Amino acid sequence: MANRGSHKPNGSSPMCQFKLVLLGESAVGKSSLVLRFVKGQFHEFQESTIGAAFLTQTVVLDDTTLKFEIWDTAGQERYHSLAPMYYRGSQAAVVVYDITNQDTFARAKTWVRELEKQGSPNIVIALAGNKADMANKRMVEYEDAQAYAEEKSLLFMETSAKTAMNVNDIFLAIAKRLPRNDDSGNRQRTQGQHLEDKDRREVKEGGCCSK
Amino acid sequence: MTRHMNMASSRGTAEVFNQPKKFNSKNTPSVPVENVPTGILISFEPTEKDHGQNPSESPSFSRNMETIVESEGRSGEAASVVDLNGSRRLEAVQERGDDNPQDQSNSDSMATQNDNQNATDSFKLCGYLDKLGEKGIIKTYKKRWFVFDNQRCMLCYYRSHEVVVPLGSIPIANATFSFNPSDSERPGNFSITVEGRVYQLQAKDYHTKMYWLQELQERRKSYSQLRTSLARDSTKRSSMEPTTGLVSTKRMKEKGGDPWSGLPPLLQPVTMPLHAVGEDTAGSAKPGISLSSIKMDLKNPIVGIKRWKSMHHESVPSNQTNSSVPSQAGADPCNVQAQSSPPIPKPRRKHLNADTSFMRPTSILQRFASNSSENSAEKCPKCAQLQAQLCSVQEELEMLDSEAKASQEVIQILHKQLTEGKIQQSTNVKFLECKTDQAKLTLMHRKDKQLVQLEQLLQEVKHDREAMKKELMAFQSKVGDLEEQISMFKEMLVAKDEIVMDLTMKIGDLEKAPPVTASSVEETSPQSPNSFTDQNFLGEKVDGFSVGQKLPPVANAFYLDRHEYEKLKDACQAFETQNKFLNKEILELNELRTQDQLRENTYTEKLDEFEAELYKLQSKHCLLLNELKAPRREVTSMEDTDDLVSQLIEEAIQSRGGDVENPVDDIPGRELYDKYGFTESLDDEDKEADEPLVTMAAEFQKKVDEIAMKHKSDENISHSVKWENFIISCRNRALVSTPELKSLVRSGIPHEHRARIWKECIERRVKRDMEECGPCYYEKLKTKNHNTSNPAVKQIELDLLRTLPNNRHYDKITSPGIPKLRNVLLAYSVHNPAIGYCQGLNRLAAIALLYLEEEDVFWCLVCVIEHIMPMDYYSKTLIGSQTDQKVLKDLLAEKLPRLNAHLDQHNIDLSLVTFNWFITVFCDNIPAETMLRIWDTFLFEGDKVLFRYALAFFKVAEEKLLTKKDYLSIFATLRQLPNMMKDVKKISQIAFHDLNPFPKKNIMAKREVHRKQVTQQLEELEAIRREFVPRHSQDDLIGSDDDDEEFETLEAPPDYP
Repeated sequence: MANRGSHKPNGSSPMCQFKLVLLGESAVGKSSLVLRFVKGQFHEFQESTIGAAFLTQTVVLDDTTLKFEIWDTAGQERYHSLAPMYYRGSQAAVVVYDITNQDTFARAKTWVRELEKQGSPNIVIALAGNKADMANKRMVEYEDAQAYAEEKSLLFMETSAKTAMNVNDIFLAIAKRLPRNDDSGNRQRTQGQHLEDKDRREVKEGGCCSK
Repeated sequence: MTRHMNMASSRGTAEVFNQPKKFNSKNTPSVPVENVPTGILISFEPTEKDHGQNPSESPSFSRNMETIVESEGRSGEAASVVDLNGSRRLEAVQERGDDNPQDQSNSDSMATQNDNQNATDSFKLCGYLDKLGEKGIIKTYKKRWFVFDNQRCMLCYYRSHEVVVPLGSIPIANATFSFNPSDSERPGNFSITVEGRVYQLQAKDYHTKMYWLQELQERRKSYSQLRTSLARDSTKRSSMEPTTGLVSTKRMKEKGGDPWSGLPPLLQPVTMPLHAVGEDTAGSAKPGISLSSIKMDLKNPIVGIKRWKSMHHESVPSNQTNSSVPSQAGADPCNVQAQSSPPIPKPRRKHLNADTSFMRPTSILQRFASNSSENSAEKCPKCAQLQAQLCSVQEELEMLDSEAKASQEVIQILHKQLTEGKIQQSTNVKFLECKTDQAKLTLMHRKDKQLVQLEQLLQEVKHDREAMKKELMAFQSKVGDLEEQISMFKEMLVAKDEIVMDLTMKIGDLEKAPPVTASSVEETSPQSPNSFTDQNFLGEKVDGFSVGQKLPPVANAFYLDRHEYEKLKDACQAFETQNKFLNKEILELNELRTQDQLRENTYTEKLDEFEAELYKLQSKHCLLLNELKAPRREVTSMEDTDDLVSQLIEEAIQSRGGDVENPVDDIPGRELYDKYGFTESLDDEDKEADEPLVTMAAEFQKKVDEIAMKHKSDENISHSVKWENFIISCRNRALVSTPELKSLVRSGIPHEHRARIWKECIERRVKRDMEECGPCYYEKLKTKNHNTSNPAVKQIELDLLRTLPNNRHYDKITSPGIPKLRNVLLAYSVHNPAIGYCQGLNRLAAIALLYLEEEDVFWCLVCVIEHIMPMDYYSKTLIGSQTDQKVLKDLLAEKLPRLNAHLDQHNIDLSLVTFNWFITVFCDNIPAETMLRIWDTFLFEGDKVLFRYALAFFKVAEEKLLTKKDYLSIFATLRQLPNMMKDVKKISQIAFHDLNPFPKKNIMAKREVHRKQVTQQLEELEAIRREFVPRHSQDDLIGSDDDDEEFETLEAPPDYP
């Protein structure tokens, strides 16, 4: 992946654009989280992602329109050699694990470490403990993950793509943390005004469906 | 019938005489002449015209010859000559042999009727027939391979069964069939009339012809029924299904009552002639008029001549007449071989000495000569000259003949005188020798006694003669009797000819009448009674004939052959059969018309509905347009407009819903899935993004295109027929990669043949592996799974239901595809632990499982991973796949430079999109039809087609992508790319034509370069990861197998644990 600037099309677009990448072990629910966030849908058996999938979603936060450019990656080990292609140039990353599977949490830690080493300098990393609806099969304690997140100063939430729990919240939390660039921020605020209503409706709709 | 058929072989008129005699082309009875020498003269005149016009006059060459063959007791030799010639044309003796099975089968026909009925259901109607050429000045019969296309009710013909592209096709749906029994020379001859065009076809024999006609009628009928039922119920479809794999469905045959069973069985069903019709004949029969067979035809006369020469020189070495003939005859075929327009003599004559076997080659030569003489007579002026010369030579020859005859008579007279003289002399000598009178007296007495004896003998002979004369008289009267019969027969023939003409004209009228108007049906119905009357009339004629037999003899013609009578009887029979057939044909046509009318009514109703709908829409459209113009002036009407618009929108959406609902109502729960088991993907992102009306407009436009396409494709020769024919031609053979097959595969393997072709494509590549691994290899692998703990097992289990969740074969844990998928993937992970399981392989296996059995799918994975794809495509580093993305990028720059520059400008990395295409062989939300087409070519040709199709996709989307001016919208378009890839034909056209040249060398070279770069990058990445992975791995519970093996293809650095 070429080293694309974070606000490349800012001349033409009135919005802030952010690149976000989802990482995590296979079958932890990365694609489901994205699908829930973008379309408000959930499939019990989401087609396994090969290579990567690309989606976009717009959120409005404090009069600012943010457009997420989401790269959903494949979980299987051997696809990790492709990962740098996706997280390179990302302003945000969601590292997902499955609370019913300890291995996936370990793998998530590896990903956090790799992002710290390889990712963009100010990358916002969120840790998502997915499948929170299956708490009865829990293998990863909330406190452990919480402690780890604090230690690494990560955003942390337990989520459920199935019930939509915390899905929009975690993305909004990321959005809040994302730095707004001085050069484009002002202009976008004035230009993006009229988009606000429509975009807010979009997110609301997604939220309604999900709950 | 036997006799009738024997007549068929006498192509040129031929006569057998027992004495040299001037040739006469008319059938004047041969007059027996006393003083019979043993020679036989055969003369020919290839005047086909005379013959065809008045077949009853044609001399029965074959029969005469038969007689001779039998009388000479050399039939075996004659037959051997036939074998030697092996000619395609029906030969007299061979044909005689053909009669027997027919008789046999006729007697069996009742018994096998039921079997036959069953056989026609599944039997593919195909076989070799001779077809009369339509082009060129000289129309000849050429052997063609005919295949009946059930789907379109067409008879397609090919040069041979091995050829894939048909020469043409005859639509049978509205065709009428007939045959001419008076053309006794070709018993297998029949004609198909379609829209004024007449196709003359010729089957091997009479029986085969009747079978073809019967089958064609049958199929025409069922097609008409099918069409009528389709007209009533437009959702019903008839499609063939493959027999293996998940997509196969057991076809339930509904055997409803035959609505036409009420038809009287005019003709007894004909059994299938195994030797002449069917797929089996493909292998046995050789294409007829190919070059090789022409050579055969040319060789035959030469062989014959050689034979003749040798025999002749042995038996009669010093015959004056003969010596000139062989050289002449020998020269002809040589000329024929050297140049195609040989100078051919006019009526030729050959003197032959009791060697009947000679006749075979001669007849062939003669036929050949007759053929080419027609050709050459028009063209070659030299021929005319030569012919004139020949004529003069002939005359000379005749003069010499008469001279010889005269001298023979003189010789005989002299011979007689000589004998007399000798006897006188001996008597005189004896008389002189006798010394005494007594002795002389006794001698005299003896002589007297002898005299008395001789007189008595003479008396007896006279008596005999009287008796003979009486007998002769009796015979003469008999002959007269027969003569009378003959004239009756002739009369009858004329009458029948008229009837036939009448019937043919009626059929013609029926054809010409507009097919489905009410009036035409009314017209046709009274016609069938007419035809019955005709039949009755014929019956009366036959009766009249039997009366004629009793008439007193008229003894003005001698030597009327009893065979003539038989012949006429046969002809009569043939006409009767034809009459029956034509009656049946008329009844069938009547039924067809009724069906047509039914269909027309249905269509008219539908058309009216549609028309009403259209006018409704148009009126609304006009109103809306008017309103759109108006509101600028009047503000109040805005509300009306809005109402109208919203109403229209509502109606539009409703009508769309109605369209979807209909098929569901008919076949509940079935139409939700396509034939591959995929659900129609309703959750398309773009549909939600776009205005629903715009989507609908696009859908309607698509339907318009589809309908236009349907009409276009109907004009072309059916693609499926090409495949049918190909499948027949290599039924028992392995797949041979020919350019023809390649283009066939590129145009798509039909659903019903996909299983077979895929399997063969795979087996062709993995043959060696299969041999090395032994017969039960797959079974062994399956059992191994239970014992070893395979790191891939977990991942496979996770992915089973996430493979093709939108396909009903894989959407539930209980779906039939899931256990198979598990077995195959586990087996492969054991078979190749270096690769184990890579996400993406599940999709490959799932697609293959749609068509193939479990074990074949396993081999399919072996084939794709280890043979088709380059190294490391699915390995732990995916170097191969990553390399190909770079190669694709280079190719894009070459083939689509504009798009490439555009993408570069916006920093788009295509590999983010294309990576999936390559690793899953386009099983990535690409429309199933397109994806399977890519699979067809991929399995047949190899990995290069991936580049072809990937570039074709971009080519299709190029314009749209160029209009997108920012990163996000370009990626949005790229994400929608699969949905744009529904026009398979167009994409394939681009992939295999527009993108050419597409050299493999280029790709290989690029791969080599990029592979090095990718490897280097991966090494760097690995080095960075190494810094934290070992440290982490202590508390990492992830199975270390994966991590250890991850970079196995890279050089392990020394400090790596």
